[in-house]
Amino acid sequence: MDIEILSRLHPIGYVLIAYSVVWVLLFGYALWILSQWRKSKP
Amino acid sequence: MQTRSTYKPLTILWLLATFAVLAIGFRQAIYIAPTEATMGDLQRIFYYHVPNAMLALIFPYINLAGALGYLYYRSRNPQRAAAADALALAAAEITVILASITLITGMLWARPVWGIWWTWDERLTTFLLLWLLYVSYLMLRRLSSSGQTHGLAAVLSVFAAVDVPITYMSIRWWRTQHPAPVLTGDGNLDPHMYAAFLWNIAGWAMFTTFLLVFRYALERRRQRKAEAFALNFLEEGVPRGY
Repeated sequence: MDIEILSRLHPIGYVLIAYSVVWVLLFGYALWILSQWRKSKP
Repeated sequence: MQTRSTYKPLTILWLLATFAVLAIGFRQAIYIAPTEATMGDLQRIFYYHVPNAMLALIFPYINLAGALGYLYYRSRNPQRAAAADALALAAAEITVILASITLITGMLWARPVWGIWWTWDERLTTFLLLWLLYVSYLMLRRLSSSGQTHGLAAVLSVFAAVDVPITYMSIRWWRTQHPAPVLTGDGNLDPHMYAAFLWNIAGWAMFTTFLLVFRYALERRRQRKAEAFALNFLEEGVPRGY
């Protein structure tokens, strides 16, 4: 059995990982701003 | 003058509209847009990669506008200089995030299509340089403790902005491995794919605009807090002989 076949991700897997990167980075940044906003309350 | 009670509903409305547009964009990208003939489903990465890459080339100019505003106002109007500096910082942080997204999603596409994660192609190299320039801008601001930090960062941002047109034009000036421009060039985009691109461009532009305003407001709040702290220190410190 060719082990490469097992390690090869389905194309839609790459798409979903790419989309997750976008969501995690941008929404993570928004959450970080929100946490800093609450901390910096006058 | 706007009050907090006016801002909150506007922000909620903006976010609701943004999430609606992003949901339509996601549906268009995954379910509606036709599967590309040669790349198959992998081409769907482009629906997120291209809008974020476009925005990564726009935000440096907001950073540049803030930097130029800071350099112009710093000896004329300290309040306006501080506001311009806050805008520059907010735009630089978003540029780093968008450039990171562009590089990572690009590599995720390149691995199965080209068989490699990375190549020193002109577009990829100039984009990596863009990322490094704005990371160094943020590092300079974070790590330098001299009184000249904001001025130095503003000058760096002027030089960093020079990389943006080079990055944009790289696939037109040189014969690169990177695909041709999708929306404005010889990318031969199927007309059925336009909707997925346009919804995602609109959605991510709306979301990053929200991030810019929110981060700017946070930085202005921090500046006012630091200013109040300094004034308080001077008022209390001077009589004690500090």
